[in-house]
Amino acid sequence: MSHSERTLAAFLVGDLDPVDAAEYDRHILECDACWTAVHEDRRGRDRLDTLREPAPARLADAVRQRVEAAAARRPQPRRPARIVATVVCVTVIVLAGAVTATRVGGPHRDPAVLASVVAAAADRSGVALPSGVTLDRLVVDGHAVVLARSAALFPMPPGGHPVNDADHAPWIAARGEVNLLCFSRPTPALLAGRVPAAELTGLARALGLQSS
Amino acid sequence: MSRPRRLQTVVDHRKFLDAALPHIDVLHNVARGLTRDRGAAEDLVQETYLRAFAGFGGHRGGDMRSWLVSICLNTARSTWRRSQRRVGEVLSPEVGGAEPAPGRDPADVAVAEVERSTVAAALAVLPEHYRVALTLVDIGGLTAQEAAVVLGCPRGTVLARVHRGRRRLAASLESEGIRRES
Repeated sequence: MSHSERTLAAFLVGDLDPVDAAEYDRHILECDACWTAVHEDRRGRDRLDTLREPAPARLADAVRQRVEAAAARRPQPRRPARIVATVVCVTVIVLAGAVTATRVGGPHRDPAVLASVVAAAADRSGVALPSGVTLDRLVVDGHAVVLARSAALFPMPPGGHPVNDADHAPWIAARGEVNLLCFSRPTPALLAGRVPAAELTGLARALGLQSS
Repeated sequence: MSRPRRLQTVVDHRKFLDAALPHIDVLHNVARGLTRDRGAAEDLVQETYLRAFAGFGGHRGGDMRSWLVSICLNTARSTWRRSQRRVGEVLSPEVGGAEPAPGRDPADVAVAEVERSTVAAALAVLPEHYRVALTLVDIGGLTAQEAAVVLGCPRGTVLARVHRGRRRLAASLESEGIRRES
């Protein structure tokens, strides 16, 4: 941009101070090139001015609708109250699960009779036995065990497994420190104690629960 | 080296619309200068607002008008690159399509539309740096300083482009005998 063009642009945009602007005004009257430049500039500006028009009302409506639709598609912010409520719900569920697990004697949901036998074998007090079940506390070969008997079969709990493939085969299970060994024949009997599983079989044999 | 992830900020769309919608006339005029076709201009304005809404969370509270115009210009350039055409080189000059002002003589409206189409056609064939400067300052109504921020160039450069662009436009229209009676 030449010096004269820079001065002309400054004059047109009103950047010149009043003294310089007045001087440039006088110069334009005497200079054909500058006079032409000024008038072409103003004619161009006036023609461009015809392109200015307000946005149609429908455009503002369309913009509003599209922005609202975009906002609706966004994931909602997680509010503090919702976070607190979520934490409370999770805590309640975890605590309820823990309490239930404790009541049935472990993380498994055992039948009530098994839970009672496990509690007795673990030396917990206040064990309530279901009706029809008898419980004896025994010491066999130096091991304290409990022997429960019932007219009905003792159900195999989750995690238990039969010792062989025969029908009504004995099953074994573990609940924490307590191991269980159950026989269906000749009468249902459940032996439990804080005894290694391998030794529990020998104790059962000593008690006449299992033929050799 | 991995690029840093953009911070996603959830923005209340009502706050955005309250801040941005008052500038729709400026954006509309800028879009008209950049596209020349009414339909394309309105699409460009809508796209500009959607992009601005997406980025509003990261807007640091500067001049909203310049920010929106920058987005509009960048969006137009993206469209332009995709279509491999120059900005404004979209359609032949159109006549009609504007919402007629109530109470105006239809003949006056038609004449004004012809004038607009003629000027728009002359603007569309100017070199891009002149056309964009004229669009921002003379059609969009930005100050030279605002246009300099949008274009990332000195204010003096904007003034020079506007001045030369006006002269070229006037000369172009007058060479075709389309000088307006004032």
